[in-house]
Amino acid sequence: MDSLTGIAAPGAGSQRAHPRRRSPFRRDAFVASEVTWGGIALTGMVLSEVRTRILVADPDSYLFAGTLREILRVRKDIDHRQIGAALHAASAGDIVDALPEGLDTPVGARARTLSGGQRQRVRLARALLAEPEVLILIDPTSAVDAHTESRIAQRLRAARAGRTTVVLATSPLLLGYADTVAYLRDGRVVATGSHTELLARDPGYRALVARDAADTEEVRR
Amino acid sequence: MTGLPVADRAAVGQATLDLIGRDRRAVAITLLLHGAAATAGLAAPWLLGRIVDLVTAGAGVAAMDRLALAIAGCVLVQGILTRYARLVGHRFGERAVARLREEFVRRTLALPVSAVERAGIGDLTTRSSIDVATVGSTVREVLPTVLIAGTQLFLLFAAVFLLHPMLGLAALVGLPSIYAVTRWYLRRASTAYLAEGAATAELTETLTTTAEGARTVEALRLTGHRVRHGTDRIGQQWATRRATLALRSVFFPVVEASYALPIAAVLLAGGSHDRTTMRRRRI
Repeated sequence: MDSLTGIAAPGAGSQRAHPRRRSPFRRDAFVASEVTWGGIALTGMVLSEVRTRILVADPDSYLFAGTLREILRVRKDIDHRQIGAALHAASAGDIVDALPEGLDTPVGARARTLSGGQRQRVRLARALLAEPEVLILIDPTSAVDAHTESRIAQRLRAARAGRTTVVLATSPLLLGYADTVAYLRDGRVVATGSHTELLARDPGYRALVARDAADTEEVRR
Repeated sequence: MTGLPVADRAAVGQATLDLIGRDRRAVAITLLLHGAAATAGLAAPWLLGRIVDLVTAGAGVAAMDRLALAIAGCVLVQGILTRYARLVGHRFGERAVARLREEFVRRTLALPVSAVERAGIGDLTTRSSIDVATVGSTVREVLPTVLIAGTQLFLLFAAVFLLHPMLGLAALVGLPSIYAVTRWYLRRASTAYLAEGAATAELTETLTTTAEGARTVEALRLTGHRVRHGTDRIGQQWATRRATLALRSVFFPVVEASYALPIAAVLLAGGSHDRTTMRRRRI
């Protein structure tokens, strides 16, 4: 199940509001949903099993106080090499380089000493290190500049090789790397296809992702 | 976690004076009432002494009844005075604590945001709750107790010295050990209690952030990690509390035991004095 799927939905912030509403995070959301995993309804699975296999990486996920290494080591068996790889994929290597003691620099709760973009990349690296079979990334690059976003988009596929990744975003940079993009309106899929197909076919989709067009141009130049 | 700085001795003294200075009337009334209550309390033993004297002199029942009534009256007056002293004291204490909390919020808001964020939830919470409460009980109860006890001590020692210089000297035998253990205690107490406060702040920090990040704990299955973290902090809290308890376990028993020394000394001195006078009389 090696796939990178993009989900694009209109309205600033709606990507954030949307998965929250239908989040597989809340148990009661399962009850009404018909989501299945390998033919089994998610509601029929043990919750810890669901958590092991599916991770919803929301933009508000909490960063606890500790050294950067402690924050990133979500499992005990994560070694230095894996941390390096995840930081590279999240284009977060420069954050570590800029810190006085590198990975061993203590960071307070919510990592307030880091910038918004830095925090977002640390969260992304942490989500990658959790290595879930299905990773659902919500707006993973909303706070970084276009150059960084393009680097992350390029590296994400390699970092998630052999596993399923779903990206909720309106960034053409990210969606351009997806195998399939589902265009959502009012909570329903109205069109699916590759980013280029949808751009050509659907004016609504074009308008949605166009707000980032200026950034894309900038990167090309 | 880089918490907010801790005040030095001079700053603490100045802050205490400010706190009292802003409510001078209430403090004066509290001390006056406590003083009056203490004086009323002193009257009872003195009256009891009078009864003993009268009994030895073979006085009538009526005189004794009057004195017994006076004792009852003194106890009653002491009770009423203590009640009002505590009432005024508590009202002052609560006002002081309210002012401290408001001041704390005002000053925190005046600080640069980065400084407040660096301080962390734990330090801010501990300071505004536990630390303020500690100051509250200090100004409300410890301050009057220390002042009243000091006054009573002075009066009692003066009385004992007036009765007989020998008795006065005997009453002082408890002082060296109290002095020594107090010095020993004070030299260690400040560091130990600061460590305890810091550990409390860290534990609060861990609990608060774990609750705040509950979603993330669940999603990334960090439960074991957070439980271990909490257990570590509880361990620190336990260790620092044990340390201050150990200090108190030395300080209080030594002080309490020292109270018995003057009594023994007075009895011994009294006994030997009595024997020498008896001997002299025989001669």
